[in-house]
Amino acid sequence: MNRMTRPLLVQIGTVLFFMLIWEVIGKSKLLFEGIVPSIFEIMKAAWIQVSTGFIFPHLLVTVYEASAGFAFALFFGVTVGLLLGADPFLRKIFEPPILYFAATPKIILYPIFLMIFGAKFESKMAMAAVSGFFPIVINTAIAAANVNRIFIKVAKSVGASNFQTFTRVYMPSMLLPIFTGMRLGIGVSLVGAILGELKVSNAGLGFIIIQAFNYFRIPEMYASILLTFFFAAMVNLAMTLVLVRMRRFAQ
Amino acid sequence: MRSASPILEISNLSKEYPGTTAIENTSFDVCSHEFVSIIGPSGCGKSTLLEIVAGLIPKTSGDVFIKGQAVRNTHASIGIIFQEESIFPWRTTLENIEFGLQMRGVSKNKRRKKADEMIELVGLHGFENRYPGELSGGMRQRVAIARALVMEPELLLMDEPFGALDEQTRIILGEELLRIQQEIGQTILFVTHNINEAVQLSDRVVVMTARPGKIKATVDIDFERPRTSEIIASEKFGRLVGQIWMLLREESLKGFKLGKQ
Repeated sequence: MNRMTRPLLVQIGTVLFFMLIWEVIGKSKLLFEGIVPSIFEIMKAAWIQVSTGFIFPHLLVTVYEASAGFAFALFFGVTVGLLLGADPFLRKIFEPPILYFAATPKIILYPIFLMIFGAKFESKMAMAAVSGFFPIVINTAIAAANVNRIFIKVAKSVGASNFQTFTRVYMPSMLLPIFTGMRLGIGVSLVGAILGELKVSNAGLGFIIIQAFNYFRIPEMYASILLTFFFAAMVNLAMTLVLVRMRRFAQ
Repeated sequence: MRSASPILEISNLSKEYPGTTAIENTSFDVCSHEFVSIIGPSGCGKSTLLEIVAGLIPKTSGDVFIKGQAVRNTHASIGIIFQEESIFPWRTTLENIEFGLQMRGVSKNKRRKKADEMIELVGLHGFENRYPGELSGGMRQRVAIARALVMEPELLLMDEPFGALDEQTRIILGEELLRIQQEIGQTILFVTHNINEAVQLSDRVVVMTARPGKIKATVDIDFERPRTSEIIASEKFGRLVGQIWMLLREESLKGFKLGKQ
């Protein structure tokens, strides 16, 4: 048992232990019948959802909503972030409201989006966009304001133009914090889209979860939850792999 | 030891900020191939002086000439090296050295060739494709020096470049710097607060007063060139260090009291 495998074994052991507790609680009469179905049933339902292709159209809808929303969040987040980072006066005016609103649950805006965009995917896109905006704008503003002054002096001293200083010094300096903001942004955009689907929708991962709940098909509900979690974990893993490649931008 | 042509001429230079005068009426020259150090207490304006000469900040009054041309902005013939970490962590050693040439539009092949020459000169052979995160502090400063020297500046300004390094690395790098300077005949204006370093490296040491900074005295260092760090064992070395410290001590105490206010 070397250093690499020991944490992994503990993690696997913890999952197995949890599954054991789950089965015990499910088989006992502690909770209402059907709330804790056996793991085997859940796995079976998950397998059916995947092998019949049932989940994929819904997965695609969620991905579409989250991606489109995230694209808006990225564009506006970086633009506003750069403006705020560059101008201390603007920053003083807009930073406090942005920070306060960042901490507010965006779900409170959902009825407004429903009114404006209807119950289809645009309202979920809006949720994703509003959610993803904040980590990106905050990280971008901080990155822009904290570019190392010495690097700017170096650029000036070798005669770099303003454009060159921006592309060759500012942009590489800000890349890692902006990517970190993007990673958070993707996560919360996904959450925003799924939250919208849970409330009012006719398609998507959130929709099939709440629909299973409404028809009291509990194993199917857990299966969809697990599959959603698995998908989100894959997205996060992909972002982590990208970020690891960017180590050399760290300062 | 002083050749005829001054590379840098400073006359009656003053720099004022709201509420305080950093530099007051300072004048001195640096001639071709000379190594001149400026030493002074903290806050005496020596870094400010260097940045004015580099064209990074404006002066309040007085004149600064590089080879007869007034300094208005950053200049191709002035290179500057800072104390803090200044090489870009996202570029390799070679790419960092090429930075200035790249900004000036020099072709890729020509850049690479000049950078390779610099690598040999500063002793970084084998580290061409490493990133700064993989280099020691001393190596990183060598990259910064190479980056400045590859531009072939008339005057190289160095603002406490070895201040963040340990003593042994400092002495070794000082020797390296002397070797490089002698090899290419570089004119250097060097700011430090380390008296041993000033005596080890310079032809002349300019001692500044506490704020507002003026020139208190100039001490000639007449060790022969080429020098090695063996001179630090000599009696003359100790005498010169003592002489400079006597000049400096009074100013340092003043600067110390000003700081406490």
